Parts: sequence; C-alpha cells; structure tokens
Amino acid sequence: MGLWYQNSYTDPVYVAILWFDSGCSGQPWRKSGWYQVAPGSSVEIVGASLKTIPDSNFAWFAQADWADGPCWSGDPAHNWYAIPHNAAFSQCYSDNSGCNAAYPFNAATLARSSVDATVVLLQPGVAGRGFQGCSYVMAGQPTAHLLNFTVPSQLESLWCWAAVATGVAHYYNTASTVTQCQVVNNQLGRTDCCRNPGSSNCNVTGFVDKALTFVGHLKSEQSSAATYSAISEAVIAGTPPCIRIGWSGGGGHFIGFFGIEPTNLVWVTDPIYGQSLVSTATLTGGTYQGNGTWTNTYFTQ
Amino acid sequence: MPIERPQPPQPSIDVLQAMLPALMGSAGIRHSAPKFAASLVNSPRSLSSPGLSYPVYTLGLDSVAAGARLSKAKLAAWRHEFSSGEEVVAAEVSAGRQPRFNGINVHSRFRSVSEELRSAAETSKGLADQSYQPRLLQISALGVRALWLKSQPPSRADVVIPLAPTPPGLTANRHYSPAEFIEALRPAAEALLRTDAPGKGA
Repeated sequence: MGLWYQNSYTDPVYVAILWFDSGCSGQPWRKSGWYQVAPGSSVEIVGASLKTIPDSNFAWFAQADWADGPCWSGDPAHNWYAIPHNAAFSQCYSDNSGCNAAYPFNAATLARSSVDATVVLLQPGVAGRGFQGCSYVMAGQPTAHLLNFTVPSQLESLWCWAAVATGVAHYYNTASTVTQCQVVNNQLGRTDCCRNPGSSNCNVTGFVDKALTFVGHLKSEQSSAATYSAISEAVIAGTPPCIRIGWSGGGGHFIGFFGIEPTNLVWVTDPIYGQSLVSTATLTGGTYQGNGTWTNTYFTQ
Repeated sequence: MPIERPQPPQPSIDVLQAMLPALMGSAGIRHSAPKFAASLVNSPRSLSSPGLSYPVYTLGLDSVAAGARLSKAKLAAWRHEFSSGEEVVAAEVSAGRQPRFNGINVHSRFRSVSEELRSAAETSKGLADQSYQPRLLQISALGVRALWLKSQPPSRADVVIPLAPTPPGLTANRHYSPAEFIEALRPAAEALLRTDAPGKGA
C-alpha cells in the first residue's frame, strides 16, 4: 500500500519525489529518486497507508528517457534535470550535496480516502514549454502492470513446454544460456535433441511443471484455473504465472502471463500466437484460440 | 481468383466498439501497438471499420484423427484485422447468439491474413474463374492455421491453403482439397492423441 507511479507512456520514465520527513531540519521534506518505471509498468514509491501519513502534500518530477528526454513539466528550468538519472539519491531538501539541488514541479495533495494512490503518467510535455504534460492521480493501486517477460517461439511443433520454461529462465536470469533443446534433452534423458530437434524422438509433447523445475523456477501448481486477483498478485510481484490450455477434442498447450489490465483482462505470451490481451472469461470459457480452456496454473519464482 | 470480402455480423462489430474505453486505456496496447492506439484516440469509430474481418473455424484433434469432413468444423469467432504498416492488430469476438470480446492480438508471429489472402490471390492463377469466400481454419492442438477458401457457389470444390509455419506433413501455401488436407494431418493427430495425458502440452 502507498503511492505508485504507472507508466502509460511509450518509453521508460524516471521519477523523483519530494515527501514529508519530520527528521529533516529546516524544511521538513526529503527528496529521493530516481525510480525507473518501464513502459506499461508500475512502481511503488512510498510504502505506507496514505490515510495515516503526517502530511498529504508532496511534489514530483518525471522524465522520459534520460536527462534530455521530455518531462512532465515541459520546463527545463526545473533543475531536477541536473540530478544524474542513473544514481539513486535520498536526502533532505536543503541538502544539495552531490549536485542534488532540486526544484520540484508538480505539487499535489493526496486525498486521504484510500490507503493507495497511483499517479498515471500519460503524455509528457513539450521540451521548453512549461506547465505541460498529461497525468492524473487515481485512488487505489495501478490498474495495469506489464512485465518484461516473453515466451519465445517454440522451435519445434511440439515444444511449447520447452519454450515456456526457457522464457521463464531468461526472465529471472537474463544471463541464463539455457535453450529449448537443452530443456528437452534433460526431460527426455537424451543428448541428441540439439543436433536432431525435429526427430520423432525429440519433437514430442511434455510437461511444463517438470521443465520449470529443471530450470529452477517452479513455485507451485494447481490443476485448475486461478482467479484474476491471484494472477494480478503474481504479476505485480514480478513472478509471471504460466498456464496450460486444454483443447476441445484433445491435446494441450502452455502459455505465460506477462501483464494485467483492469476489468479481468490479462496479457498472455504464447510460443505460437505471440502477445494477446484476453479476457479471463475467454480462457476459462473455452474460447482461447477458438477452442482452448485454462486447465492448470503454474506459479513461478 | 476473386475473393469475396466477408461481411461481419453487426453484433460482432458492436461488441468490439463497446471495448473502446478499455482498449484506449490499455497501457499494453499503447506500448505494443502505438499506431493502433493512436488511431483509437484520433478516430474512435475506426474500431467499427476493420481492414478485414473473417470467420474463424476450429476443428478438434479427435475429428482430424477420425478423418472428419471440414463440414464438422465449428464457427468459433470473427476476427477483425487492423493494419498500419508493419503493425497488425487482430481483435476477436466469439461467434454465436451472445458474442463477447475474446481478446486482441498485438504481436503475432505470423503474416496478417490480409497479406496471406493477397498472396493467395496472386499465386492462384489456376483458380482464376472461381469465386471464394475466405475463412481461417485453426486446428489449434496441432498449431495449424489455414486459409479455407469456401467456393461460391458452394457446389464447386473448396480449397485449403496451410499457412506457415506448418508442422511435418503439411506444406505451407500448397493448395489442398479438404480431404487431402485432413488426410495429411491425420497421422499427427493420431500420434498426439495416443500420447495425450492430463498436464501435457505441445
């Protein structure tokens, strides 16, 4: 619970804020940043109930890209620009050491009706023209959250399980070198599936829970669909869940979730069909890709 | 080969138009399909005028393994395609009496169906005298997508053109009769059913 920033712009955004701190002598305010928010993502900047904070006023500055990108003030006179965006800082307002002199732009007052509030950043302003930029504050937690998680195309016609496990491994560890054929070799107890991936011994169906266990990222599983709130919780925590789709008439397929949107919409990453925004009713109601139903859920860690 | 442009049912378009607020407010669509997102803001009625709409038919693995005819395929949805340069978005609304929004694909790994139809029309000189209505046939359990060109009038033969990527046994962009197409997939369907088990996938 607390204050969130949701980046609904197309580029990465860096946010800095001025927040009440009675421990700061002179002016009781603390400046801190930079909080990087990827496109489509949200970051919790203050973790406290907004109903009980001592002062509901605060100020903020947000800028896309680096120090030369457009900002949500539009006005370069505001010297938050001078603070290096690649360094974290947290110090009292009157402390300008480290060149961290700040002159905040967007002053705001939080309503105390909700424990959470989200500043949604839409279009930044035009550089050099003050009082520009489009944003709004809404009560509650972010309504959308996207992770940088992609399931790669499956390299063989029956390797969705290996593609999903590989995508999960690369999401949690960008330095991971695990490949689909290595997952298949491990699961089948073979050594030839990187040389002959399309052979009838290697291009076979499989179990994603076992593949996720092999890559070290299976947290738990259930033989049913999960609720939208359970999926939201996992996505916001940065732990993308995966699911099995059962086709009417036989057969199955694995896909992953990489985002949530309001009103029961979820983003899926599919090793065959790519990225789609689908309603949970589509997944549970048997109409995913025409005749698919969500049958199993795999939470990752 | 004249290909008739299918007319989507108005309720399907109405369901799509009703999704406008959600799609306009979607952070993911702004990120993944910025041109489509901009078109919704600049011209909200554009959602009612897709570049191409086509019906999606599905066939289960059991039907393929049994050698079923294509008439067994079920109309599952109408898909509405919006293209802007390289960016292709396909929104899907379920078929039936109470259509509902299924989802929207913003980053397909395939060529658009509009492109596939153009390509099929250009390379199908042998079918020059015949008129067809396009359908998309999906056998999702095998990851198979194909253009199903329904002959107009229906008394003539249909043509099925598998779209890349295809599984072993099928050749992308080759013209199949419906019976040849099912027969080509039958061994794969039988094999998959033999090894199918709860919790398994492909």
